[in-house]
Amino acid sequence: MKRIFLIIIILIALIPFALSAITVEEIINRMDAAETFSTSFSRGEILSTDRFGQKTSTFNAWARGADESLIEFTSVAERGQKVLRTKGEIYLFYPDAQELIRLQGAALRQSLLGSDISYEDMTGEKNTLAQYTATIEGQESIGGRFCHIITMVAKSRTVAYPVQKIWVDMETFMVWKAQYSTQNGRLLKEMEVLGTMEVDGRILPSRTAVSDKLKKDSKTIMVLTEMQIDPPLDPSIFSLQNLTW
Amino acid sequence: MRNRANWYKSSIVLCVVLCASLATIPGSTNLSVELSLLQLIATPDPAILGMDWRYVSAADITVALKSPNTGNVRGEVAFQLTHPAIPPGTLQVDALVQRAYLQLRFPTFRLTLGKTRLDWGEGSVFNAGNVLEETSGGGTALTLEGPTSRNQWLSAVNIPLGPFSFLEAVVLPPISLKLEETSIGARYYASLGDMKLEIGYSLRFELADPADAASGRHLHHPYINLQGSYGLDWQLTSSLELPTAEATAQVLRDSWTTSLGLFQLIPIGYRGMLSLKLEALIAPFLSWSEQTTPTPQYALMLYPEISYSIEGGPQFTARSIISPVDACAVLMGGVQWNILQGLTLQAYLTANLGDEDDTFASGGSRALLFGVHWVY
Repeated sequence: MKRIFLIIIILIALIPFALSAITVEEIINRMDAAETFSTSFSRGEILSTDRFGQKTSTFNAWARGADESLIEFTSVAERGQKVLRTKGEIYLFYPDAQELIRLQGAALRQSLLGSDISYEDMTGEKNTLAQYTATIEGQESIGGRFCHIITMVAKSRTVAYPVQKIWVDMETFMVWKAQYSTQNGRLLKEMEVLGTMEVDGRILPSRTAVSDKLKKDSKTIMVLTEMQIDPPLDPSIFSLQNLTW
Repeated sequence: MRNRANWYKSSIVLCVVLCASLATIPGSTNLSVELSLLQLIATPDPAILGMDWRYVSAADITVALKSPNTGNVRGEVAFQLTHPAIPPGTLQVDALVQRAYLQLRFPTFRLTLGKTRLDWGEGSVFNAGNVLEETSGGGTALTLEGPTSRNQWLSAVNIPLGPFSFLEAVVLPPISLKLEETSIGARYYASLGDMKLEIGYSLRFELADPADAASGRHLHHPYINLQGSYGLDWQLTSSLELPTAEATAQVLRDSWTTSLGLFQLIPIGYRGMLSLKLEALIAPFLSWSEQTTPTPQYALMLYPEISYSIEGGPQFTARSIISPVDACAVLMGGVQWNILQGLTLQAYLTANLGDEDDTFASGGSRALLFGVHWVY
């Protein structure tokens, strides 16, 4: 009887360990899942600050799955400019010139409206394990939230950042902080979530700061003012017809 | 003097009309203003008698009224005022109305009516697929924005065939108002594996001699364009220009024109980006040796461009149009910087290199231009 009681106690004591024995692949997959929706619509603004002052660009964005997204800028200087991302290519549309441009390869690394965010950052495909090898480095609390610290090393040279260190929320799998580095460990960019919002039971970043560590006094803050998850979207949104409309 | 007075009067009338219309614009209408202010200092040009060093303070003002981005009807009206006007002291309505178009979206097609631009073919300077207008690119002035095609009065229908393919047909009304001088065109745009394919045709009315209104004729312009990326981005466009009557084999051969473009972006360090572009216009059956005729047509023209930009910083650009057959070129080098919200500083130098009878005669003036471009 004593032995059975002891086994039960041991089993109960092991439950938290069993629950926390989540693999890095599971964490990454759940992180990707937390960032991917069957469809979404968001409205927001990009605030870029450098030593000359601040620039503000506003946008509307639609997404379907991990591969398709459309961003339309609504601020005066860029009004009507659109970026359509499909698997492997990006189309840009400039309404004043009625010009349709197809981007591939290195062109995706261009800065979006002079901010610290590239086209790749803005519309990146979310299959992280296909692009990176991940290892858990430990745990740390960020803003009162317990996070896994994960280091990811790129499998090929086709990604924007060779090394990423990310802090993933243990409960919501949201990324609270990320450091993007070169192969030899030089820090390029840092991302930090400054605020969150709850949409349909999911915790999502509402205010995110991206700072370019190679530029002095440079910071970009992306603010989401509206976010809808799984709204009904017409598939034709992600087409040339809609891009040039 | 009288012309200048007329220009000012016309400008005042335009301002009153604009103010009156702006006052009645609903809050949902998108209003934007583009203001370019350029200072130009140019050396004497022997081609202009009595012209010494010049200093011009030029202004380009565009006021655009865009409909809200909702619903199935969209449109825009944009007015443009240029100072000094060309010819001096004039104000032409066609130049004033830069864009004035309406787009209607129906379940299976889209209509565009008014003055706008259709972007056919590929190529910023040399585009054999730009069959809707007369452009050679060879005589184009170089600026930091680069050459662009004109807006035209047109009616177009666009029929989607899939997410990344469509058919487009266009009618360009004649300037003379004569029905028989109407121009038409159509193109098919689609993905072909990893490439883009565009096939098009236009039947365009144009004057063989711009000074002779009776020299008008229709020309057939078929073209094909491919664009893709294998290590570097490339595009290739080939077209023909055939008269509707007396199209001989030699005319067919001489009209064959191909434009080719290569483009590559090379990251330099982490923040820098080097952009390399080369465009060529090849008409293999035109002249490969220097001609002494007033308007020689050569078999090869080149447009190299190199640009270095620093993320969030200035962009340095050097570009040139080169006529290798008669060994001459027009050169442009400059810098631009989007330093504040909507505001870009720019400065550039232009100069010609070549003999007096070349396509780009070195006797032409050299100019320094600097100024600002602001959108708000």
